[in-house]
Amino acid sequence: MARNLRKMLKNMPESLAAFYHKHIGTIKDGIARYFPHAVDAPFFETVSGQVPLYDQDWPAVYDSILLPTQEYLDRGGKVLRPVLVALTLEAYGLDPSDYAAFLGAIEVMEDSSIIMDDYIDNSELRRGGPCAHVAHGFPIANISSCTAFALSHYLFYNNEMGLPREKATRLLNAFAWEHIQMAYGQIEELYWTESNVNSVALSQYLQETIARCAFLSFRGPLRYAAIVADAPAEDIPVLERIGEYLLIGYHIRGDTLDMSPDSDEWGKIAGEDITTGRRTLLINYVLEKAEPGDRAELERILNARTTDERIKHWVYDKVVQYGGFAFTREMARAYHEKTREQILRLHISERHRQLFSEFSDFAAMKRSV
Amino acid sequence: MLNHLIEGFDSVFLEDPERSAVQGCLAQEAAALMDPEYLVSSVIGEGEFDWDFDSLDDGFMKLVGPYMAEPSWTSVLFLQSLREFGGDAQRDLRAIVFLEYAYYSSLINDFYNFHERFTEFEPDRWACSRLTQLRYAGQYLSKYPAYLLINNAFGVNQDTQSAIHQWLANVYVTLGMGRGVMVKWAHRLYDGVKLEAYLQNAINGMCLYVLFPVVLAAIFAGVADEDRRVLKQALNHLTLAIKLKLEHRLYGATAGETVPSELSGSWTAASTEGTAFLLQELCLDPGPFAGSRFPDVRAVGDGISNVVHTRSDPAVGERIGQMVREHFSRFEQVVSERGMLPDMRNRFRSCLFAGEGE
Repeated sequence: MARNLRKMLKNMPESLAAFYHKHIGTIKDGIARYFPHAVDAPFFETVSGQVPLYDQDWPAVYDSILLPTQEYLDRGGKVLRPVLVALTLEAYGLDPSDYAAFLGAIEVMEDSSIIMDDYIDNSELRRGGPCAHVAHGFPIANISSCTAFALSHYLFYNNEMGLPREKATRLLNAFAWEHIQMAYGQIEELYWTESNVNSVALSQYLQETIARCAFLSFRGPLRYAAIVADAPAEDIPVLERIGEYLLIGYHIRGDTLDMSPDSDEWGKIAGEDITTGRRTLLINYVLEKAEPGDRAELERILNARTTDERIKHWVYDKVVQYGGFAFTREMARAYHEKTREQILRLHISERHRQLFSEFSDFAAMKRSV
Repeated sequence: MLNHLIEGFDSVFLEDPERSAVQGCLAQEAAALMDPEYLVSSVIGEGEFDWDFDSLDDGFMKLVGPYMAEPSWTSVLFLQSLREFGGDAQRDLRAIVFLEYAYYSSLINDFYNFHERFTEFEPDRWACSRLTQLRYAGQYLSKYPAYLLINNAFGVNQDTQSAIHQWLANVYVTLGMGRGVMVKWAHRLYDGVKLEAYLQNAINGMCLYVLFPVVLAAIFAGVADEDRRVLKQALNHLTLAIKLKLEHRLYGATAGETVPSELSGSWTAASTEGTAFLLQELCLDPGPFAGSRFPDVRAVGDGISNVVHTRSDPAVGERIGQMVREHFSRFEQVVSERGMLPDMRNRFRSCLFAGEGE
């Protein structure tokens, strides 16, 4: 996996790569300290707010709740969200190394939530290992994902950073609001996929993407860090907008890579969006542009939940034929530009503007799967 | 659910004005939940692009509607304890949305978690996908009520607001641990499970029913942290008294009880007769589960019942009855020492020991 990280860093713009190198140790330390490799009564008390009456089967608690997320964490992800939090904290005058638990919590949120993504997609692999539902079954994957995600917020609901009450409450409200958005967006997306809705407007697709994903990619982390760092009030809506634009660029890149991943080492399988019948930006574009015959065939394929590589290649060819990749590339570039415009409005140093800009460039244009 | 778990709950707890107030509030909230204008103004905001409100009906309400047919009635415990703590039940009535939506969501999650489809070696992709859509509709139900806190619909101070956020998270974590361990034990056919761990897990797995509403009421009423800590301990004993009383009832019955199908997953979680099974140090025959990589929690629960009833022993029934009394007595003692919940104590005593001369 270190090889994958090296490859990722090679694609990363120089200043951002240096920032990444500088803080990766703090992030890893934060994850290790925040999310334990065993559970006991004091940990239970910390996360549940209760003293147990009896000695619980703590290994079973660990195996059913923490282990699936821990396996993902141990395989090592890109940790882009903690990096963005560190960048925002530093941009507003805080030292990220003083906030290791915050950075760790953000990555635990990410890894517990991608367990859900994996069973929605019925994926088999994540970061080179089996997905949680494959290794532990759907029920444990579901329960562990929900529960580990909830407990990943204990730093905030226990106010372990010792924030003033006003700030701590704002932060909790921000999390709660993002979670509502995420759940609503998820309803929209699953409904479109399950009911084979082939008339999703671009504006609806973008709103759904923001709603479903921005809690961690990337509006949420920017917002949470801005609250903790006391960013100027006028910067907060700008940061939120940056987070949404970054997400759009990142997401488009992800959809594109799903059709043609540039690396198989991150453990994803190409064409999962076709298998799950997901109406991605690329798919919606082709549905809109295709000749009636091709459109009908594409709808039939999406409804069939196929794993047939030959059929998936047919879809790939149609995406090329109708200019899908050119369309998404142009859109990613446009959102990268919009992000840069917003970055200029922030009250931060030139160096941090540069870093945010490089982050956008990497997320929208250069990242691997 | 409380009316299924506790014999006599209807007559002792469900007074007409309270029932109507709860139903009226939930009907109002259900209408708001499906009103795009309300959602935009109060819940999800306008967004930079366009929401798809067509998803609300077919993608959400049609799926979750059956699970919202009847409240858990934990609302009633909230309102009654809130009054006993000196709070304003009229002002804070809408807080029942936290309780009931969490309950609806848990019914859906339990339906999902205990679904036989997931016990297959290679589950059908389509079927799993449909179940997952239901599970996410349930997730929205659990997240949605937080808008009341974000908008501070109750006019509470920030300490109370934070304490409510914290308690909601505490409850989800506790419930999740309860379910996770239960599934894990089912996967290993309850081999090696200790009675104490089983009882602790029962407390966790049933935290929505008594602990959640009463502690939430204590937070709304401004009960001090130390008293809340003691209250939680007392309510854990009460939860065990309710759980063991249910097991006692089932142990003495010749046939299992049936509940509406939407409640069946959560009913399995509450009604599994593990206490007698563990007291008698019984084992499950692995034969019927050999074909599954992840044995079905409901089938394991049925297996436990079958073994327990085959080996029925009056002394075990008596022991469980004694445990009910011990835990209820501990609950009473702790709350009495703090002068808390005299009315609720009496009501629970009436339900749990009707006809026993307790």
